Amino acid sequence: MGKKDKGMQPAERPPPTIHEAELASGASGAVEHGAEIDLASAVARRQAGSDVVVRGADLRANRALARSIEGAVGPCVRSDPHDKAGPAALPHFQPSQRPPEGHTFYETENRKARRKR
Amino acid sequence: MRFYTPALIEMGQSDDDDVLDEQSRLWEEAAARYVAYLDTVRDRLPAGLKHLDENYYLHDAKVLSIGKRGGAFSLVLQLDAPPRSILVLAYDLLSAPAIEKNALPPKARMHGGPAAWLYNELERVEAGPGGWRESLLLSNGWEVRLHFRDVKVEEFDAVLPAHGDGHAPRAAFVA
Repeated sequence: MGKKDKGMQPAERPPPTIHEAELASGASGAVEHGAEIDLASAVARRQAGSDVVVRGADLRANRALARSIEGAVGPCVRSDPHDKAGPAALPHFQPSQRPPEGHTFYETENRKARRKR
Repeated sequence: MRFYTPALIEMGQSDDDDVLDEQSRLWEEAAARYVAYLDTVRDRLPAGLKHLDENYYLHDAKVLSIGKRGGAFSLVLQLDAPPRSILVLAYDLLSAPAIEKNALPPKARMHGGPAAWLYNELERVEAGPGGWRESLLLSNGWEVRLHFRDVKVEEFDAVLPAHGDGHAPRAAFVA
């Protein structure tokens, strides 16, 4: 997040965006983001067991949108990343009843998804 | 669990933004305290535990099976991150394992399919036979507590469950 974003009030910040996502291979726990998608596509992607990530500068807005995406799939629980993870490991919602697999991740002030390589 | 406590995980299930903001702050504090502790003992990790610590991120790994035989305790995991390898952990126990089946409140548990590895905490044991203690919190609500010398780690390419979908590959039957 840039200095300009930090000075903004929540109402002035751009709305969060939803992106395709994948976990990076290896021990980092990092989340990689891909193309931006709309809400309906995000829910369809989650129903199919793939990951999505909500990106933006407003933690509360990100979290609320992530919860609504996962809530459209079914009852869900929220998890935080483990200590070993780097700054691209993100908190997430996931179904409390499996299947489907996968997660809806969301960015925080200090934790950001990285661009898919 | 001394750092990633079930109470903190339950707090993370709140619908209240103020509660969740406070939970995030407490979580980051707990993580920092745990990392600070781990840094004081990391240079004494035995080879297997060091390999596990340095090479794998186990959060949300599927726990495909748990077994025990005498002084051995095994977990078979499928990692959540691609290529979703199968990991076989064989612990060399120093005392009997303990399993608390209701460690996690129902609101924070997941159901259906294999349980997931949520969080673990390691602790160096200085007294008696020494070794290490590990607490593992699973998504079915279990907390598994192990006291061990070291853990042998073997990694395999996933064949069943298949990569990605967690289901068996289609099989062809020939008469």
